Amino acid sequence: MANGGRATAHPSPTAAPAKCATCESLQLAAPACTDCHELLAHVQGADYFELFGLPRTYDLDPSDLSARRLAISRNIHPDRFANSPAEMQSLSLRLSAAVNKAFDVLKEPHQRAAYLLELAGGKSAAEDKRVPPDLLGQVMLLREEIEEAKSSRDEAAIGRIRESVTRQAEQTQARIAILCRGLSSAGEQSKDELRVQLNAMKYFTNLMEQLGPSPVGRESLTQGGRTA
Amino acid sequence: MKSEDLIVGIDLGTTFSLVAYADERAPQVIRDPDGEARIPSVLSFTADGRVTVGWEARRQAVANPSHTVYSIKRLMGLGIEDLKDELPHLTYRVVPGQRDTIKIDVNGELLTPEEISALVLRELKARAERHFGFEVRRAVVTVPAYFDDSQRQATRDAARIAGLDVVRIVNEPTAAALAYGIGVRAGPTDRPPGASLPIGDKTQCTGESSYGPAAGDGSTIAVYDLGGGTFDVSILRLSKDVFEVAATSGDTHLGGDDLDRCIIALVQKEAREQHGLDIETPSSKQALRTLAEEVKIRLSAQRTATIELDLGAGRLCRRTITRDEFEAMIAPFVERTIECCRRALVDAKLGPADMDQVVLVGGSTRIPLVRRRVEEFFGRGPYTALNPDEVVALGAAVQGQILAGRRADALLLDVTPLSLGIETMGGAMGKLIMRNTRIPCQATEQFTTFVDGQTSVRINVLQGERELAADCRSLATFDLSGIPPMPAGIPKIEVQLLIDANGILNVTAREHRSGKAASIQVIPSHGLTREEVGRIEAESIRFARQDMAAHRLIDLRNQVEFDTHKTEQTLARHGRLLADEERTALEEGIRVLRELAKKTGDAEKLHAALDRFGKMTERLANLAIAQTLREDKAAGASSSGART
Repeated sequence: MANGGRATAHPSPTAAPAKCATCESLQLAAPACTDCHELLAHVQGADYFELFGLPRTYDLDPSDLSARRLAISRNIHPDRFANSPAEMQSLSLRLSAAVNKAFDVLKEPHQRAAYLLELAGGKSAAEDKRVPPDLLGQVMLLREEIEEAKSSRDEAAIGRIRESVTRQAEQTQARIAILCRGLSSAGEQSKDELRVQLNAMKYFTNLMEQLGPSPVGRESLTQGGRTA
Repeated sequence: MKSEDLIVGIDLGTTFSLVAYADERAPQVIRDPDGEARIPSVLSFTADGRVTVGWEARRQAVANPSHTVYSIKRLMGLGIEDLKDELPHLTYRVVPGQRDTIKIDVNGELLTPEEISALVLRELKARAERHFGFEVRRAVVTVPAYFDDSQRQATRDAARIAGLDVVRIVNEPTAAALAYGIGVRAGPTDRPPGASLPIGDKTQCTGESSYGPAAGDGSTIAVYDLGGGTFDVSILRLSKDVFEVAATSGDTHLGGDDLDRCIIALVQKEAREQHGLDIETPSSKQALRTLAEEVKIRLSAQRTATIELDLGAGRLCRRTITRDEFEAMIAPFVERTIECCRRALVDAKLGPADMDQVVLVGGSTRIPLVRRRVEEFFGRGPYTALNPDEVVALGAAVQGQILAGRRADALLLDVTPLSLGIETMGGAMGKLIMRNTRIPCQATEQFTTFVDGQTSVRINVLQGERELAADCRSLATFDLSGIPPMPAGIPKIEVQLLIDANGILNVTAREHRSGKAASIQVIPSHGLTREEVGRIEAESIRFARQDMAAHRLIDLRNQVEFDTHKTEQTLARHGRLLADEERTALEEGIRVLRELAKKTGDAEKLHAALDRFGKMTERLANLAIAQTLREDKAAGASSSGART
């Protein structure tokens, strides 16, 4: 949806926070404004940070992001337009879907990082496919260990593996955070490393899925954006 | 309230259906004169084509087993393959329809589940119209949260056939949370007044102070909804004005019906052992179904209950069931619901202890074992201030009020229960939208052609969690046509999948190189095409006209009764002002008109006769008015004279 090219419609993409009149109307007013077509075009063209009136940065406060999403949803949700003409209903539907999509990307630290990389230009992590040299072998071993622990219902072993994977995931995410913070002035080399680390993160996420839910409940990783 | 301001809330249940509305004071269910809000979702068809809906149909079920249709909700939006475990339990006949759909055979007439469901909805619509005295067109209709796209579409189509405009489809547990969250006052038959969920300030949960929008910020609740045919669990975060679903899980074929079947199976086994008899005739099957339901309900209050089934020829099948025995039978079903709770919590990234409240919804949550297991799993006692049968309809009414623009202090944000994707090369399921994604949501995917000059592409859209397309449910195939002929692989067709606030899929496609919007033909796998719905709707309008004609006849008959009675009174008082022949002619006119009203079914004819009669009485009426005026004047003169 968003890309560097279209973002030029809104100058100074890294300036904080975005001061676009349409952005403000999106947050503060119902899109019952006269220029709702402009609004839709804006939402579909804007980058996700602009959409929420946030600076383009890795470090963001998850609860602030949630609050901004709710403020926007209150104004643009289809429930608010049930009595409006079909065109407005369709607009509100498309706007809401776009805002929800943007939120889902920004709220997850690794997706946010991948998105920042996309905005910075060049190959995406998924296109690159490279991972740290010794990762694949290590992941294969871990998978076998998990299978074994699961089939013998060895809760202690599962706990140990979970702890180790969580630690590595946190270290990787911390490295991703550092790389993202330097992204605006980054050369190809650190972009390359960011791609590699993002791909590694995907393997850790899959391993966590294979391990199943932690008996403790709340997972620390989901709130991990600012702990890095 | 005016018609255009009103959006009623409808809980279209497996066993019972309700209609409710919300005004400035509070949401309330619409009851019959006996105070009963529930209408059984049961229909009884007679050989001469009449249909009765509700309590009367339920009473006739044993006498008319193969023409009594019930639990239609469990058949909505499904195909014959999906239902192979369900059909042997039904006493009415189900046959395959077009594509992978089904039809109900009623006296040789084949009706779709949508048409059957529409008859229940029509009854609810009529109840609301009697209450308000004007036409009710707009409604919020609830569905199980775990309903897939086909089941939602089928529900919406049913409402359309019933002449209702569905402004929104709302998930049942979400509606229940809304009813609790905004602080609905419990009804007279319920427990203490004030059923507001204690959001934030936990001292607010009783008394008058809890009425009205709950204040405070941030609590997490689980809604456990075990109804007649379906099970849902939703995890919601509630803040002062936002009701946000974090995750939902469920089973659209798990409910009270399945628990009844445990008892039915037990008695069938007993009958075989005691009498060497299979309970097979539709009427004894239906009788057993009714008895099993009664026993199940009794076992919630008593430790034992006895079932007695007359097998004919003086044979009686008698079986006493203890609560322990019943609980052992239904335990696997209850465990399945707990497994769903576990899944929903994992998806919400929360643990059982994170719940601030657990709300019970649906009649089957009255079963002690269900309450016990829910309490054990979440580690806290459930919250049940509102009647579990009525809370969903109340919540739907509140959502109706929000949608009508008459309430702006609450916003519902829901999720899609199932992952959505597209069949990829090799028959895999390529997921594009994950389950529990907040709706409205969207995904886009690029397609291209494989053959030079290819102008159309077929896409199979799937819903489900499994890896293979064959293990997921096919929602529809989309035929994209009108792609400009180009070499293979050159066209870039962007398909956008959009799930709206109803949880229903909308698909659009565009060919990028030409900028042309590709045209899409949707072939639903388990439901009606737009054309089929349109045709049924047109037919039902024809039926509605017949209904209207019947209503008109009743109105005209009442008018005849009124007019002739009034003429008789006038004749008695002022008849002496007319000539004898005139008087006799009027008396004859009254007799003939009454006779016609009694006999004719032709509203037009009766209307014309009533008109002629009106003209006949004109002279008498004028004379009577003149006479009355004279009398009044005389009386006035004498009274004024008295005063001076």
